[in-house]
Amino acid sequence: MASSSTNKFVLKSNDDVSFEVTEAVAREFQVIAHIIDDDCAKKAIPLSNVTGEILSKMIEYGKKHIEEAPVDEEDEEGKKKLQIWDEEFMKQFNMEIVFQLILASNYLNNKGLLDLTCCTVADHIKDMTPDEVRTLFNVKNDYTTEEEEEIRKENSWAFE
Amino acid sequence: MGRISDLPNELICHIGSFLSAKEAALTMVLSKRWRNLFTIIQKLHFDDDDDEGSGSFDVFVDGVLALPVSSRVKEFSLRLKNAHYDCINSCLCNVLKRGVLVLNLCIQVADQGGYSLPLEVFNCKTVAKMSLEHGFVIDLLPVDAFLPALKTLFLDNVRFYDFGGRCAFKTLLAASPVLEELCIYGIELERWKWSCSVSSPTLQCLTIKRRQWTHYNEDNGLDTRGLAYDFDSISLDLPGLTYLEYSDYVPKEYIIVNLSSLVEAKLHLCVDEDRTWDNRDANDFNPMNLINGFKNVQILDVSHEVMEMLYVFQEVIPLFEKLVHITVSFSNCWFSLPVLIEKSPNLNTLVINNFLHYPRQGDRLVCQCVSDYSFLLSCPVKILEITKYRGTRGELEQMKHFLEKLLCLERVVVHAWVRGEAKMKLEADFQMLPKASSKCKIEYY
Repeated sequence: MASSSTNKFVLKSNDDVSFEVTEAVAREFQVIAHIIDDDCAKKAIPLSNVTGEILSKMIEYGKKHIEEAPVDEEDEEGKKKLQIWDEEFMKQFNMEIVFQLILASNYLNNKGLLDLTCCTVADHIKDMTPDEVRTLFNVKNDYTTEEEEEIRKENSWAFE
Repeated sequence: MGRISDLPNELICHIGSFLSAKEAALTMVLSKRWRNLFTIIQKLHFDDDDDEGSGSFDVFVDGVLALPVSSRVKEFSLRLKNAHYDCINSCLCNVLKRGVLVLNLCIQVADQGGYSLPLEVFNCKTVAKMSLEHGFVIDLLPVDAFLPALKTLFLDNVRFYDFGGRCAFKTLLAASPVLEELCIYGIELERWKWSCSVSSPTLQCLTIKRRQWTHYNEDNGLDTRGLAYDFDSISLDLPGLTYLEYSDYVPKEYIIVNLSSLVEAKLHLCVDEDRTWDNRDANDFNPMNLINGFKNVQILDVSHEVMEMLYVFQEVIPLFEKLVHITVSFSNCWFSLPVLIEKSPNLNTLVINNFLHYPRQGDRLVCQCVSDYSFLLSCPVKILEITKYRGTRGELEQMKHFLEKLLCLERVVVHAWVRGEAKMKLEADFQMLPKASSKCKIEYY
C-alpha cells in the first residue's frame, strides 16, 4: 500500500474545480479522513459546501501545516514560525472570505483553521465600539433606542 | 462585505471564546441575537475557609469544567489551603480560556516540591489584573510568555527564581507590554534568584514592601546583615514611573537607576534591623544612584532611616529643585532636617510626622542639632503640618521658632494629641505666639 505522502486524492469543489492532494494533506480535514477510512474515496471526493476559491486556500493551509509541522511539543521555534505564517496567511483575506473559511473549516472539520479564522474575527472585534463592529460585520441593530439604552446600562462596566 | 449574521450560533460562540468577558459584554449591544449568545459570569469564587461555601473544591471544579464555551468569566478568585495540585491547575487552565479579566489566586498548598502555577497563566490574552499569593515560587515561564492586557500585578509573598539561566521575574515583566502597576508585598529579595533588575518602559506605579525584618541564621553565603549575596545590588530602569513606594533593606549599591518621570516617592530604607545609619555605612553602602534618581521628585515621604541616610551622604546629595511637598520623620535628633531643607529650594509644604524635638534636660530650650533653626529663614515653606502635638512648654518653644522664622508661612496644621481643656489651652498658647507672616492661619485637629 502506498504511503500517505505518495497516495493521492482528488478533492472537487461545488463549482467543479479539482485539486489533487496527497493523502496526508487530505487527512488534515477530519471529514475527508473519515471518508478515506471508510474506504468510500473514489476517484474524486466531492465537497458540496465549498467553492474552489475557498478550497484552494484551505489546501494551502493544510499543506503548510503538514510540511512545517513542529517536530514535537518542545519545538518552540517551529511553533513560532508556523504562527507567524498563519498571521500572514490571514492578512490576505477580506471579511467575506474569512466567514466562508470559518464555515468551510467547520464543515470539513479542521480545528486549527477554525480557531485561526475565528480568532481573526475576534481580534477585529477587540478595541472596537459596538457601532464599528456593526458596520464591519454588517450586523443590523434591531433594538429600539430604549432597549439599547437598557442593555448598555446592564453592561455599563464594560463601557468604562 | 462579510455578514457575521450568516454564521450559526455555535460558530459565533466559537468566535466569542476568543473574547474577554468585557469584549463579550460589548457585543451584547450589537443586536437582539447577540444578547443571548453569551453568559457573563461576574465572579467565580472559592475559598476553603468559607464555611458558607457551597461544598467541596472538587464540586466547584466540576462546575467550572462543565461551563459551556459561551460562558465568559469576568473575575475568578481562589483561596486554597487544602486542595490537590492537579485539580487546581486543570480548573485554572479552563478558566483562563474564558475571557477572564481579573484573576486572584491565594494558594498555600503544601504539595510535595511546592506549588507551581500552570504555564497558561503567563499566556492569558485577557487578564488585566492579576493577584498572586502566597508563599510559592515562580521559576519556569514559557518562552512565548505574553500577557498583552495585564495592567496591574499584585504579588504577596511570592518568590522568583531563574530557570536554565532565564530570570523568571525579568521574563514576566518583558511579557507584560502594558503593565502600569506592580505591587510586591512581603518581599524578601535575598531569597530570590533573579537578575536584580526591575525594568519596564510602561510601569507607572511600583510598591515594594518588606514584611519580615528578622535576622536569618548565620548560614554561609549571607552578609553581615544576614542577607544573601544576590542582594548586593538592584537596578531600577523605570523611565515611566511616577509613583514609588519602597520599604526594604538597602542593597550595597544601585547599579542602574532611571526614574526620570518620578513625581511621588515614599521611602523606608534600612541598613540593619537593629540599628540606624551612621557614617561608617558610607564605606559599605552606596545608595547615591538611587538618591540622584529622586532629583526630579515633587512629593517625598521619608522614614527616619532615610533621613539618617541623607545625613550620612549630605556632601553629595543633589539639589531637589522640584520638591514641593515633603513628609519627614525622626528617631531622635534632627541633624538631617537642615540638610534636607537646604537642598529643597522650592519647598511648599513641610509635614513633620513626629512630636517636636527639644532637650528634656539642662537649660537649653532648643537642641543643638537644629542650630537655633536658622535654616528656616531661607525656607519658602507656606504650609507646615505637625502630626503629633501635646502643647508642652518645650513644644511651644520650638513652634515659636517655626512661626518667627518661616517668612512665607500661610497655614499651620496642628494635630493635637490632647482633648478638652488641654486642647483649649494649647490653642490659646498658640495664638500668643508672634508670627513673621501676617497671613498665617492656624488650624487644629
